[in-house]
Amino acid sequence: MSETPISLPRLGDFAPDFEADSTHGRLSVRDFRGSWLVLFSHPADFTPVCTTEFVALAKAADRLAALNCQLLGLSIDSVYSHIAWLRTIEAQFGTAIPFPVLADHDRAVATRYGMLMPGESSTEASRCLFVIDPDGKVRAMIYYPMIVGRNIEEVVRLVTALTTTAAARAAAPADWQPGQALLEPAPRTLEGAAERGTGADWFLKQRP
Amino acid sequence: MARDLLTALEPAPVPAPVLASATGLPLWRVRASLRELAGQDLVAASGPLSPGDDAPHVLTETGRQVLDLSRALDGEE
Repeated sequence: MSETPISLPRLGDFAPDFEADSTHGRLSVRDFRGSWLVLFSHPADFTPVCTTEFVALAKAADRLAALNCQLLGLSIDSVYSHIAWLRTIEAQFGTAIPFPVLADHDRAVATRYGMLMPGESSTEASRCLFVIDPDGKVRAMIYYPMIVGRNIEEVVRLVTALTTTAAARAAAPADWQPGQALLEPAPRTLEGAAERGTGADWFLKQRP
Repeated sequence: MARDLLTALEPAPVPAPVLASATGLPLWRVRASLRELAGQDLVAASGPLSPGDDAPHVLTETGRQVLDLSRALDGEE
């Protein structure tokens, strides 16, 4: 068992800074300021589950871009491996990968973002995903095991919900989908509750 | 891409968001490229700004020489 303490970013904190080589040159998390960012890790290049995720993410990239959201991948591989793998995906599956992929050979970024799960692997990052807002703050995190691919539609839904609720200053209920009603924040005072009236509406009020 | 950025900076200092609009490149790519070009002393930030702002950049003398050389090599003198 590793004695190295695992450190994870926390929701609401500024995303840990980094500068690392990528398939699009050297990148910093600061470069994405002003847009939403989905930073995600995958265990390794040329692996089956990761390949399916990359194809699905590439197909979702335009929808995320319409939400002012960029994608940024990462694995503990070299940039040369990334380039070879991305070219293979395009050649074999007909899908060009439009987003950059960080080469985290020294695990510096993976360590800062808590992407390493020594119980699963100390040499490969797990499937970690961070949604970072335009100010650089972590707004959501999803951690998946290495053997199960992520639901990319859920990633799009999550980003849509985050951008929608941020703009509307409201909350999204369970299973919320774009176009559905949001929820008013619950009243914080007795007076506010009284204004809402009685019944479930006093704390569970939908906003059309 | 680097030459496009150097060209866009030629007449006057330009901040990254304006460069992104002018070149059609994503803002993150422009910022990363400016940092790289600054590391090679081809561009420099023009004047101090508060943290978080995109400082306008200008061509350095080296940057101007490289741009002129690139144009000469392409027969654009």
